[in-house]
Amino acid sequence: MSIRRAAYDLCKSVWSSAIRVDAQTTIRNLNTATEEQQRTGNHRASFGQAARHLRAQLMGYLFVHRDKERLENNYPPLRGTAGLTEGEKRILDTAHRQLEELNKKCTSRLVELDPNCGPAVNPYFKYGYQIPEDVENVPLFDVQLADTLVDSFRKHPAISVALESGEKFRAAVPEAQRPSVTDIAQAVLNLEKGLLVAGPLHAPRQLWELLVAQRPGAPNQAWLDYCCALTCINASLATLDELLYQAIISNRLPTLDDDSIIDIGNVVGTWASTGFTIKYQPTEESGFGNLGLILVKAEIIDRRFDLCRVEAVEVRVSEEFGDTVDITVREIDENLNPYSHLLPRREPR
Amino acid sequence: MSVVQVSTENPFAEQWRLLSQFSYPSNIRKFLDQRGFVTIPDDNIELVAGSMRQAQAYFDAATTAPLDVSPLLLYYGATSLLTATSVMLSNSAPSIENHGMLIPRNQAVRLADVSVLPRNPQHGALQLFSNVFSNRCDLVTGGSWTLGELMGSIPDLKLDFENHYQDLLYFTVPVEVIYTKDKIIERIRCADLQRYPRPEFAMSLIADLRKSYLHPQYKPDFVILFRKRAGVDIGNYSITGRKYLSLGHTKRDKVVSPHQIILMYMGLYVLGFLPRYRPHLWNPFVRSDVTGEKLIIEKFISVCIRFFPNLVLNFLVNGRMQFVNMTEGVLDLTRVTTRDEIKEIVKDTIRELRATGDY
Repeated sequence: MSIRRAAYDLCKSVWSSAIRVDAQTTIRNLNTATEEQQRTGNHRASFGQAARHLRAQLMGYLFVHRDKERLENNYPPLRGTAGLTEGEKRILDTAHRQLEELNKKCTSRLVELDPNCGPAVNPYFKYGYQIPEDVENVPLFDVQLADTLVDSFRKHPAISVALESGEKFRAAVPEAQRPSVTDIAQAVLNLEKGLLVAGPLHAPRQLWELLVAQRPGAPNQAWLDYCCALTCINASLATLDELLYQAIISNRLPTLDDDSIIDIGNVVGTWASTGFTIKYQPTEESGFGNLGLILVKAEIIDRRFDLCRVEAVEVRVSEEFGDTVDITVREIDENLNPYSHLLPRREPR
Repeated sequence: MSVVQVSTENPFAEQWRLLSQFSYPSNIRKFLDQRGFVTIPDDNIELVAGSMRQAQAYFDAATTAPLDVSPLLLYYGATSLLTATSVMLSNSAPSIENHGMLIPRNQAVRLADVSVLPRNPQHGALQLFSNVFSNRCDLVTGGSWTLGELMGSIPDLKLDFENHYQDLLYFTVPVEVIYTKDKIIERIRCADLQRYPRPEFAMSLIADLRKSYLHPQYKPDFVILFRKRAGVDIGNYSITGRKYLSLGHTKRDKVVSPHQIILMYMGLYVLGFLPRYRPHLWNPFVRSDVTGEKLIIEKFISVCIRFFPNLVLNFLVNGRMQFVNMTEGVLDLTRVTTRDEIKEIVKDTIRELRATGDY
C-alpha cells in the first residue's frame, strides 16, 4: 500500500476519534470571532492567525502560546490577546504528541541506524517544544491503521537513499570533519528554505550548481544525496502531519476539479519537484485561496494528479469580471514527498 | 466550433454562391464521399441538387416580394434548403409526408399570439428536421408555441422584440466575451434578465449550462461565467457574430431549447400559413397595422432571408461561417504589444535609469 493511501485511511479514522471534537472546537475558537466579539475586540482570531502562519499544525498554536511575549514584537495584534487555557493546551498537547510519536515510529529504524539524522527528519525539531509528561492518553487515530502507515513509511525510497549516502559520506570523511547533528538538521532546513523561496516552478540556482558540479562518487555528492534524502523524509512527514491536522479540522481537503478549474498552466518539472499553476473559481469545495494541501482531480495532458501543496495564492475579487484564485502548486507523490526529484536519479523532469 | 471568416461585400450573394455549389451532382458526390458514405444513391444526389436550386429561387423571389407572399416563399425555400442539407448530412432522404405543424383555430389579438402546434413525429417535416438540426429535440410532445415565443428566441430580434412586446418574455440573452491576458470572461448583464423573477431562475433555463460553464457568479450588475476547460460551446450567434445564450421554453414541465434554425423554420411556417389560410387576419395586418408589430415581422423576415442560409452553411462546414467586410492580408499590430516590444521597453527604461544614476 502506498504511503499516501495509508495516510488517507488513517485520516478517516481521525474523524471518529475521541479527541477530535475537542481539538476541532479548540482550533475553531482560536480562529473565529462572533460579531459581538469583533465589536468588543474580545476574541483570539489574531492568535489563530499567527499560529496558522507558521504552518506547523497543532504545534503552531502551542508555539505561539509558549513564545507569545516574544512574538508580540513582530506581530502586534497578538498583544492583548489571551493565550490558550489550561484545558485547551492539554487537548492540543495530547493530539500533538501523537503526531510526534507517529513521526518517530516512521523513522525509528533510520534513526536507529543513523542517530545523527534524528533532528533533521523531525519536522518539529526547529520549534524546540517539549511536550509535557503528564498529557492524557486519548487516541487521535486508529492504532492498527497507524501501524500500517508506519510499515509503508519505512519503505519510503528516501530512507534507503539516506542510509546509503550517509554511509558513503561517513566512509569518505574523517569523523572530526563530519557535520554535527545540528549542522545536518540546519542543512536540511536551509535546503527546504531554498526550495520554498524558489517556488514550485523553479529550483534554487545554488542547488542546480551543486548538482551539476558533482563528480560521481565524490564525498560532496554523498553529502548532497544525504541532505536531499533527509529533506524528502522531513517533508513527507510534514505532509503526513498536515493531512492528519486537516482531518481534525475538516472532513475533506479543498478539492479542485473540472467544476472549479478555469485553466491550468504548464506543468514544470525542476531538479526538485513538479509544479504548475491553476486558475480556479472559488467555491465551498475548492476553498477561497489558502496555502496548504489541496486535491487536484483533473487530467493535465493525459496525466492525473492527486495531492498537491499550494505555495502561492493570488485572489482576485471583481464585481465586473468575477472572482478567481490563482495558485501555484507543487505535486506531492504517493510517498507524500513534495520533492521527489531530489532523489536519484536527479534531473529536471 | 471553429469560426470561418469569409470576406465579402455582399453576404447574401456570397452565402448562396457557396451553397449553390451543391446544385452540381459532382460536388454533392464529393461532399458525401468525404463524409465517408460508401453507397450514394443517384436519387439522393438529384434530390439535393433540385432542392438547392429551388431553395435559392424561393429566397431570391422572397427578397423582392411584398409581405403578402414573402413569408410563404421563404417557408418553401427553407423547407427545400433543410431537405437538401438533411440529405447531405445523412445520405438519406427524409420521409416527409406533411409539415409536421398546424395552426389551431383560436383567437389571437396580435400576430405574436398566434400559435403553432407541432405534430406527427414520424413523418412531419418539423420533427424530422429537428432530429437532424436540433439534436433530436422533441417538439411534438410539448404542446403549442406562439409566434411571440419563436421570435423572442432569435438573437437578432432581441432589441426590437423587447421594445415592442413589453409583456412577453424573451428567450435569448446577449453575452459579453472579455479577453484578458490570462483569462476569458463571459458575462451577462442582469438588466438583460429583468423580465425573469431572478437571474438564477433565468440561468436555470439555459440548456447544458453546466456542461459548458462553471457555476455562474451572481454579482449586482452581472452574471459572470467562466468556461470549463473542456466545456462545449452552447452559444447561439447573431448575424454579426455576437454571442447569445438561449433560455429554454417550458413545455409540459419539460424545458426544451431548439436550435435557432428550427425556431426560424416554425416562425416562417406561421407567417406563411396566415396569408394563405387566414387572409382575414393577415390582410388587415399587412394593409393597416397601427401597432408597429409589422416592423418586427418585417425584421424577422429580413433576418431569415439573410441568416437562414448562413445557418445551413454552418452545418455543412461544421463551423460558424462569419461574413465580414474587411481588407484581407493586413496584420495590424499597432494595438497590441509583442513580447519583443515589451523587452525593448524594459531595456530602454533600464538604460534611462542607469543614465540618470537611478539604477
